[in-house]
Amino acid sequence: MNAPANTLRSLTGRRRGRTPLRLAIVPMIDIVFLLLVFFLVTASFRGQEGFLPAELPRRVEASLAELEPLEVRLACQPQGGTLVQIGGDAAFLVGRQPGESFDILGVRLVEVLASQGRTTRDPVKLIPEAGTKWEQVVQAYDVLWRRGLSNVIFAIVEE
Amino acid sequence: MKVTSILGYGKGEVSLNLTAMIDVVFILITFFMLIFRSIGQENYKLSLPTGCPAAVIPEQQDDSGVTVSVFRPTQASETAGQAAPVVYAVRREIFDPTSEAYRDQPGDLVADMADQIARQVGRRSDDLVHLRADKDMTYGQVQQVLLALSRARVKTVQLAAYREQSSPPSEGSSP
Repeated sequence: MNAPANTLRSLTGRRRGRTPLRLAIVPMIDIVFLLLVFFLVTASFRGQEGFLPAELPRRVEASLAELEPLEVRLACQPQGGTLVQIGGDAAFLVGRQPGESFDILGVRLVEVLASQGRTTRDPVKLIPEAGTKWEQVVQAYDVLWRRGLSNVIFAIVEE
Repeated sequence: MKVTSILGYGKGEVSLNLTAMIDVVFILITFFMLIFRSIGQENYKLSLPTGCPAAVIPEQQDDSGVTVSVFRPTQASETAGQAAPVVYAVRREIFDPTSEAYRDQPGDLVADMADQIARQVGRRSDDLVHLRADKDMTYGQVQQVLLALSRARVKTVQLAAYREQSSPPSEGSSP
């Protein structure tokens, strides 16, 4: 009686045949591609967020030497853009066109600070109207921060 | 794999070397998994203000930071002809001004938010709070959060914004 070719090793240790070991690669590739497609489809990307530091006002006793903050008023316009008024100066329109920056606010602000003998350490009060878009408020704050004005107070307004 | 020619003359053998392909696929998976940064903090879908070059991008994400969000829930905004209500979130806890509790007592909204903020901030060594508000929110709506922060005696706030003028491709969930 002849032994079949795939017989296990005999007790004498002589190899009669070899069981071929096979790795099923195709299902593994399927799983790997499935995983890859899954991650690519379910992933959603978000731009890298930045943060503008701000400090809320502390309750301190008002001293006689405390300087009145420079008021910067923002008002959203129905036809687009934001009306900005610095101190008691004439108001000007910013952001009428999409993508238009608030840089002109920085230029005018520097002029007003110089004319009033103020420094960048002096307080500035940001007074947006209740209906002003938050994006415009943040952009205005961004301009103030870039000009070195870190003592910015956010006013609480009536809705 | 054996391929017999059309005329039946001879038999050609075609083999596909899959090992190299598997290597490439694994490398791609590893690459994507390494470059992705999973966002552990609360990640509500909203569009942040853009065009703020002074915004500082932190080198390391602070997953344990206290985040206060102001946004309109996506499902509500899909309802036709209805303005979605604004919702506030302190970390994962949602405060809905249109809920029964706050419709009758709107003043409780700021108080409850302040309590929750104080509780979250108390667990940290610093009192840093991140404020993430949708760019289309009005100042009057975001102001409620400022009042709550003030009431919770939080002094240091960071306003979330994008540096670039153009909006990023998409917002929201982590990979």
